[in-house]
Amino acid sequence: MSDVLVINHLKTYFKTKHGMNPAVDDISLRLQMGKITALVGESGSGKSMTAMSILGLIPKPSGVIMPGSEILFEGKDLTTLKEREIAKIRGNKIAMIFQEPMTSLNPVYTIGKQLTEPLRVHQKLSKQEAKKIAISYLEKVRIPDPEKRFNNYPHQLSGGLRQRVMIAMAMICEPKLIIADEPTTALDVTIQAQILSLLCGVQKDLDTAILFITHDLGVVAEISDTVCVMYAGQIVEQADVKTLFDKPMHPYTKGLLKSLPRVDDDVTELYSIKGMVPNLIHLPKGCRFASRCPEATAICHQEIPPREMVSRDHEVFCWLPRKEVSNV
Amino acid sequence: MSDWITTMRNSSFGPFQRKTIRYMHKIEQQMIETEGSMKEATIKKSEASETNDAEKLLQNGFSGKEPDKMPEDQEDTLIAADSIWRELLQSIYKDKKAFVGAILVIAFVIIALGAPIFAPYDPYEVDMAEMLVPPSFTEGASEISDNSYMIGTDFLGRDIMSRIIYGARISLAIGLIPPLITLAIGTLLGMTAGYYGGKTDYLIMRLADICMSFPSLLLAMVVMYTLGASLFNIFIALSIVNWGGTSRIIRAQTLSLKQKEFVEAARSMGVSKWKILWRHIFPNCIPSLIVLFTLSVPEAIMSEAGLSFLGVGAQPPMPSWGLMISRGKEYLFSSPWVAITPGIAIFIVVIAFNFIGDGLRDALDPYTKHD
Amino acid sequence: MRYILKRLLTTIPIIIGVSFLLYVMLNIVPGDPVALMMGEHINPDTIERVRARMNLDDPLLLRFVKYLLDALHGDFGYSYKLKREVSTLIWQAFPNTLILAVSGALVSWIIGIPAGIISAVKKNTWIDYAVMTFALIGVSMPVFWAGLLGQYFFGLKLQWLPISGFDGLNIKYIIMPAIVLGWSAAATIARLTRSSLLEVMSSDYIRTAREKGLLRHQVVIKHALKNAFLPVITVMTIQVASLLSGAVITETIFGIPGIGRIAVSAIQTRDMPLLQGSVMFATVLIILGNLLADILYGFIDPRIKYH
Repeated sequence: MSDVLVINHLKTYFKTKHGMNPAVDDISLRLQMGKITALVGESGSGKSMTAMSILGLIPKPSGVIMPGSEILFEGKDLTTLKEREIAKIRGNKIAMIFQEPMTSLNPVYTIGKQLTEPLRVHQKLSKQEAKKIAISYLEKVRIPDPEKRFNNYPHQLSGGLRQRVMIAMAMICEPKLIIADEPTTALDVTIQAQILSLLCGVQKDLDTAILFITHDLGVVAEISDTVCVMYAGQIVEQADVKTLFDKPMHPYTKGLLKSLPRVDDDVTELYSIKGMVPNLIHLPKGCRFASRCPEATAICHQEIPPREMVSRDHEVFCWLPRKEVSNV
Repeated sequence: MSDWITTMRNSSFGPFQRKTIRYMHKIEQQMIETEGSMKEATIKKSEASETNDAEKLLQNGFSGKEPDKMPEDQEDTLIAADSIWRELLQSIYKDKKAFVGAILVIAFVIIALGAPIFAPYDPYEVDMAEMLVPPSFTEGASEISDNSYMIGTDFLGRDIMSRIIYGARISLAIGLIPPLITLAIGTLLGMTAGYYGGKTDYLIMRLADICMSFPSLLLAMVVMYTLGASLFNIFIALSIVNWGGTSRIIRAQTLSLKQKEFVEAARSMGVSKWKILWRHIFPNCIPSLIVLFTLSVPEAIMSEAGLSFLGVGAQPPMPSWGLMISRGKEYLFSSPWVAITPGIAIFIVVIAFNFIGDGLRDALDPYTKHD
Repeated sequence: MRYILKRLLTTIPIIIGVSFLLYVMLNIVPGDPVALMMGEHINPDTIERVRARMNLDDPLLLRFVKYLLDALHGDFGYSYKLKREVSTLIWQAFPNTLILAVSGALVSWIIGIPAGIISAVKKNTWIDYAVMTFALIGVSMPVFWAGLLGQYFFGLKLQWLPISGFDGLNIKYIIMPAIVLGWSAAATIARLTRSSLLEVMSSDYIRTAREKGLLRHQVVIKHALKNAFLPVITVMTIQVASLLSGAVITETIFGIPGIGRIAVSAIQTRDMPLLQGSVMFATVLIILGNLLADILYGFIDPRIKYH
């Protein structure tokens, strides 16, 4: 299985008035061809900033990718590319779908103009050629009457349709990787399901990798192959979807799964993780989750947990597995 | 919150209305924060006023009343307004520009009020022997006159410095009174239009449209023609010309406040319409009124100067700054100080108010804050 | 089309309202307007004749309707002070005001828009601070004072430009009044362009455009400017009115024979028909200008037509 994108020790920090904010703090990640990798975490855990780091769209000058970070894509380190070079990759080989379909399209241009823009920019196609391709993609994302929609303005489309347009726009250059940042959060539940199935279908068609960013574990279970759980700027657990749901190791992952409402359970009250995400600027010593962790021991408050390989595809950053070993 | 922003993005509001929405958005946030946590807010309020006496003084000075002695049914609206007050003052204190502006304005007020103390000469005293004496710091000034005039004398031998100092009184009065009357008219009509709706609303808003279609200087000129050129009539002209914008903003706020729970509650308890308007809606319009006021003060000062410059305002020998420039312009090439120096005074006062206005706008506008 | 029609229909009552308000204000001046206008030593016959010519014996409302109908035919009455038709005087002065206002507007756009864009793109750099400082100075400077400063420095000291006067399209005479007139409008436009562009630049669709692979400057030019200009255009149309107000003062300073100057001298000589005609003409012009701008706006912003 070949890797499309490899992230090594990515650190994206933000300068603030009160000090450096390590929004993304030393994460490593592999995205495989044709697979959907889910990046799960609460808001503020650094999911979106990871995505923005890949595309080099970190807000400057406050955001900085720290030295030692590596984002390898097609043999190039994206963190070292010049603006002009990385612009050639954006929307072409790596595309992105955003959370807010209502506001992610420019209100003063037609769908068609915005849809064909990546083709015109990257492949220098003529208007006619681009239009033909664009309409075929509008059909692919099952937008009725694509010819007419092509000339519509965004405000004439519903949220679901706009998100379909966004997906078509992401696909249009047949990218190697699509980053979907909470693409269904802003939509109705029924439309969510349609968009998800559409995304999966598209992914199979093009055999692209998808980095699916979400806080919704239900969605994760439905579509992803691999799951990374992020907490306070770091990955705390990474496994294939089945393992993660069956045998979660990290107390945070366990907490997240417990807080999911389940049909087959008779629990009346939903579980919620106590406490709050720590202030990233004044991080505690030791494990970042320790203060909220029901299973924390002295060492968790003292030292940063090591990376632990539970099995070949299952890694976790926690002291628990070691303790269990020593207890036995 | 997000639906406010969506409304803004998706509709074609003009900048004025857009701004209104932002204020409203801000106020709404304040309401949400205070609703349901009344006790907490009250405690916070008393703490805050204890910690900063000067601030409390200013707060009371602004609202004219001791907030603690307010009847209970006003509490909720007052807290919202109160925390905005605090924020405004804090923002003035933090923002260097606004701080400088505030100091300049205070100096301006002191100079205007204490004109007889500060003025070295009588501003009206004509002395043809001392005609057009250059400022004392220039060479040759001492050869022309034995007296020293800081920025020279005008074509009738009057000390310009003294005239500018006395002129500050005119500008202060013009800067305060017409904007206050304008705001009062605009608020009254705006609240009426917004609260009553229907035909009343339609009538008032069309009238506002008509008034706003005039270039305000031309309209003021016409009023001056009707009333006759005098300083007093400028007060009237400037008071009745510019209420359109205010009434639009206040109307929009009233419309949104009308649907708030505390207004609905008051209405269901049978509180009279005017009482609701005065006790519940008006206090929530105050922040926008402050911003409008800081914007209209320099505008009024400039308008007076402009009208007097054109000869349709204050009449000689009034030491109006605009009139001084107008009368001095004939000597611009031989004795430039006569016309130029009153302009510096206008410029400083106007820029001071603009500094404060910028600061307040940043404090009230969630958008520029996050920039 | 429906939008344009709707705007047209709302404009007509406003024009009528505006003219009515003006008419009432100018006709409630205490005392006999004719006597006021003509001075004291005038024989009663003439007064009668003038009163009849001005329909002064009719009720106010009827007089107004007659005036409005005449005005529609281009007849604004007769100036007894200048012994000319008001419409002739206005048509003579109008081109000069138009030249001044248009060049003032051009100055404000040419300076204001690029300054605002640069300021936004280079946010929080010294260029931004410099531009914003200039803008603040611009909005705080009284037009007439700026005019005098210009006359003093560029006219007298440096002798680059003529001090006053007007000569049709002769650019030498236009430059200084145009800059004086456009300066504060430029400052407002620069400030607004900056804040509007900054707001647009932080919006989601700009992020989308960046994600598509457009470079920053391409995004600004292709995606941000069109959106950012929408509020700027609104303000620019509002400024047409303030430009005209400024033109009154600018014309007075630089001795340009325009409508503003007519109005000012009409007040000074208490020439009511002339004042009425010139102010009404100017105001209706502004309203029509705003209407035109609104229609233009409808073409730029696709959302408007469908509301």
